[in-house]
Amino acid sequence: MNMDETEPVPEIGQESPKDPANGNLGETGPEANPAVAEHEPPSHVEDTGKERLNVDETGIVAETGSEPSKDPVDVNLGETGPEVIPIAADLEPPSCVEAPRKELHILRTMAACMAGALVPGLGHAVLGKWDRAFVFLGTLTVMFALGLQLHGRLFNPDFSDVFSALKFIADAGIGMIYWVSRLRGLGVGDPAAYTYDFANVFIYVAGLLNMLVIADAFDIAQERKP
Amino acid sequence: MNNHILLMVIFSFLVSLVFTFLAKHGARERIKYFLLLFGSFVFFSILVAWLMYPFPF
Repeated sequence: MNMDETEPVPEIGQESPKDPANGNLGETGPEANPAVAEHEPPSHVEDTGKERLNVDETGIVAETGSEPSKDPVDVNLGETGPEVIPIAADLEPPSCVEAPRKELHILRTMAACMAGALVPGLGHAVLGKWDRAFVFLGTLTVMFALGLQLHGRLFNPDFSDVFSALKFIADAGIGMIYWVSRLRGLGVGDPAAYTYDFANVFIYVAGLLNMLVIADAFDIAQERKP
Repeated sequence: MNNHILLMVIFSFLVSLVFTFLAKHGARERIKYFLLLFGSFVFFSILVAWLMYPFPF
C-alpha cells in the first residue's frame, strides 16, 4: 500500500470532524458512542489537549467545564448530579405504628376530660400534672364554697329561659360539687342578703373556670401543651 | 363578710391564680405573671369603681 495515498491518522486528543461515523479509532470505547459526536464542541473551540471528556461508571459521557445541557443524555452524574430529595424523611410512620398511639391518646384525652368534668383538677391529676391539679382543686373549691357561704344560689336546670339556662350551665360547670351541694340542700340563696350578687359571681366564675381547666387538660392530653 | 374591697381582692387573687397556672410554666414566670394579673385586677377594679362613682345607680 502506498502510504501517501492513505488518509492521515488523527493523533490522540485530536478530533476527526469530517467523518463522525469513523469516530476516533485510536481511543477507547465510549468515544465511539454516537452521542459523543453529537456533543462535540464547534470547530472554533480550541482543544487545549486537557482531558475534555468525563466518563462515569454508567458510560455516560459529558464534557467538563461545559454549560449544563438540557439534553438528558448529557448529564454529568458523577460530580454535580441532580439533588437527591430525602423522600424517606418526609414519609409518615406506617399506620400499624400510629394506630395504638392514637388510640392511647383518645383514651387518655377522654379520661382526663371526664375526670376534670367530675372534680376540678382531677383531669390534670390523671395526666400526672400534680401541681396544677392541687391548685385547681383548691382554688375552684374555695371559690364555690365562698359563693355558698355568702348566700349564693344554685340555679336549677331550667331551660325555659335563656338566662336561667346559662346560669345553670355556669353553676354546673364545677362538676360533682354542684350536684352534691344541691343534694345536701345547699345553695338556696337569699336575694335580700347584702352579698347575694357577689356570691353568685363566685359560683358562676368557679364553674366557668373549671371549663377552661377541662380545655387545658384536653390540650395536655393531646400533647399540644407541656 | 360585707367588705366589698376584701371580696374583690379575694376574687382577684383566686382568678389570677387559676389563670397563672393555666397560662405559664416555671416558677419565675408564674410569679411575674401572677403579680401582673393580680395587680391589674385590683387596679382596674378600683379605677372602674371610681369612674362609676358619680352614676346615680
